[in-house]
Amino acid sequence: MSYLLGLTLLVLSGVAVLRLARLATGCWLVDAPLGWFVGSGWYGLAAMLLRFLLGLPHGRAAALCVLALPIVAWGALRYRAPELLGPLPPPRPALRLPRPRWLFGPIAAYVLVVVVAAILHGANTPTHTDDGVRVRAFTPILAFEDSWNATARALFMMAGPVTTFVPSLGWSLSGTLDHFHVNYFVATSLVAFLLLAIGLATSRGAPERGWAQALAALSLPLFVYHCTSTYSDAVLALFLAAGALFAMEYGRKGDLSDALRAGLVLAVAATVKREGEVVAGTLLFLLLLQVGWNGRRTGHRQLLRLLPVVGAPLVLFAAGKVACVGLAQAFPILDVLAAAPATGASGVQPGQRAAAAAAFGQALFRSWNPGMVFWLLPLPLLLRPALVRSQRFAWSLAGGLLLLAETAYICVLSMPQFTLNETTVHRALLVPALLAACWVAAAASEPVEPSA
Amino acid sequence: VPLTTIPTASKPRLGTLLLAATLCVSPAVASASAFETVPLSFVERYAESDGPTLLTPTGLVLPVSRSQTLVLPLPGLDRLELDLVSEGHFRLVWTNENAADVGGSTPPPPFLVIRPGPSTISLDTLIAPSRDPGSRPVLEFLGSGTLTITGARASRATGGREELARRAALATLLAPQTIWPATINFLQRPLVSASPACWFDDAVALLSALAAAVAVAAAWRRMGRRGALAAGLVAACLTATLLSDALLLVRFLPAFRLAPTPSPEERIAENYYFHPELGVVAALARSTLPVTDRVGVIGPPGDWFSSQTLCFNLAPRPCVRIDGKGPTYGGISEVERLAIDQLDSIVVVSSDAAPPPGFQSVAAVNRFSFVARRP
Repeated sequence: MSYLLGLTLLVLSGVAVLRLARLATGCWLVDAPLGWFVGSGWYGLAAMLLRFLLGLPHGRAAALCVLALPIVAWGALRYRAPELLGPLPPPRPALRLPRPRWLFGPIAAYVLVVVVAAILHGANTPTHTDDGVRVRAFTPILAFEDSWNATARALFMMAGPVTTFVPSLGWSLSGTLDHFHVNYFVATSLVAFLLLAIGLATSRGAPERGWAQALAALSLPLFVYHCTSTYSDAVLALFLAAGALFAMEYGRKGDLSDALRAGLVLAVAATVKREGEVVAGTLLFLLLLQVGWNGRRTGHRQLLRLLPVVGAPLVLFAAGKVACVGLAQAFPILDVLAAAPATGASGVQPGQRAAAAAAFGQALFRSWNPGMVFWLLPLPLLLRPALVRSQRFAWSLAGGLLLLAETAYICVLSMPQFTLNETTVHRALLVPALLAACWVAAAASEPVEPSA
Repeated sequence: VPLTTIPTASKPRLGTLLLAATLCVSPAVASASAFETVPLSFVERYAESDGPTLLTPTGLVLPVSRSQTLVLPLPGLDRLELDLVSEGHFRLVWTNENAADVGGSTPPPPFLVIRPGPSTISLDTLIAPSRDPGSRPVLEFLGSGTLTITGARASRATGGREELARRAALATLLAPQTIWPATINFLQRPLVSASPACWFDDAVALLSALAAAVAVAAAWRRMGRRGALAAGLVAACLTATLLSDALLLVRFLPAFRLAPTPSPEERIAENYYFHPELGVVAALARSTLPVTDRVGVIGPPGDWFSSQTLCFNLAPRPCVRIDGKGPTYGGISEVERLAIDQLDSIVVVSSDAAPPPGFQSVAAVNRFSFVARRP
């Protein structure tokens, strides 16, 4: 019950943030799941700043204040100065079910079966992995105990504020620790992403795309398995992909609101797990580039509107990190990336990189961990090249490929030993695999436009 | 777990039914010969074991102390069914004679969980590593307590080495996913055929390419070039996705715990699949110890995982792992540090180490796993 209470408050708080930022779509199918991602980011970031920057104890009162603030602010503005909240969002096309039914009926059944199985198995399975016990499911316990010595703070740097404070919200509200809230948090993120994919596409008049993306996401075997665990890799992939869905919509229609939503969710994704800073940073950089490119003839007013939406959470996040562990240790991911690619400098044995390159290829195409997505990724380029070259698909493909290249760099050049023993390579591919799955599904479900 | 125990005294679980359905459609199983009863006296006389075995009127008794291995005198076995009466919580790992030592990134041999009470278990030697026509099956019982084998039935493998390799590859491809701590890193490799080597992904890619070609050819005249190529893309995506999804369902659904279990205590007690005794001890300690207790955990030598996981499940109790030289000991990720004289209680799991002086056992699973407190 305490988890459901926390979840409800988080979603309401997230929707209130969206309304205050004039980023709500007006369609609950989209706003509710988007509220989960934004609310998680808001709560995680605010709790982090209160605890480490202001030194206030973290507990029930702080949690309620953080969650209530946007709701109260929105209520007050709506009552006192509704003009500040902007005009109502434009009406959306009538919602419809995907067609043809004979195809999308079984797809919906598969999605439902896999989601329910993942939720049940995930909820039934206590944390049983080394990383889960040591870090991912442990930092929420530290947040609940509000016990932050130097070692605990170092763990917090690895986990990030979202995966630390959000799973512990129900405990803070009820005063009782139930270890399985971490499992529920992962399951909620999965459901929120699927609802967002389906809801967003449906609200834009193309439910086929949303269901195809849901099917594609749940066709990634290791990703599905991760969603039943308390690891954070799937959570990071889900937050990133949620942002990428809006980036794709921006490419499709050029509506700046979608770019702002994408920027906001990607900024939240940067606070999920230490690696989130790099992968979300890459997509954010590309989004800024895309908005800047689109505004090259009309001035850069759009870019100037995007920058504060992306920059404010990131600056606050950086301030919170520095307050937590100091400047020198606040950005350890830079050390990871800077691991010298020269042979011997980072403990890499001669020949390891060549072997790791082969293992990376096996991981992409023959391990089944990412399903068939990397086989399918080149097909739209071959079969629908005009579509791929269009604004709608080119930027999002570039984002996915950039992340794949980053993953290849880390797995082959930077840390080949972990690719050879297979401890990290398949997990590292979860993020590019999920983005690729969404992209391929969108390309395959795109109707053929009549020839000019 | 790859195969689920079938409690004879209770209704089959959903996972068991799904597994049964999977096995029924598996060609590997369909070609196995019929089961024959194996006399327990034969097993007792010719089996090799690193622990005592005792033939009684009830059956073959194994008084297992933390672990016991049994090499069955049944070379060329295909499937084995055992009727058991257990007085402990066991993980049964089965493999084949001369199997390579498991470690590193290798998936573990298949295993299943045995709970107290009567049960019938079914083992498929085809999915265990290093299967060859003459190899004897090796059973390793991990846990403590008396285990009585009251009946055994076996079916013999048919066909030669090549036939066996073909069936083993198919059985492994369709076997439920083994769930253990490192499953998070990689899933079982999907090999359709060992000789010649054929990967599942390659085969599906080929079929998808064929589906795309057929779709393009069929739609070319009716839909034009662009429409036909788009249809080809859809056909390839659907073929690849649906085949891969079918394998996902076959592997995951029987391995997943799908019965809703509202009680968190029950989930902890029952769902540490790869270390059933750990879950039982954790649940016992959680119900025995006040949340204000400071706890020390003693695990088996060299096993950092059990003590760490126990500490995790005992939160918010301050907890450290007693696994080295004192005077202070570290908790999870060394966040906590406590000395013995600061502890209120000790939890021992699967270890013959005695608790430090001054602690008395207050609750026990067996003599190797118990909870002790200061009087």
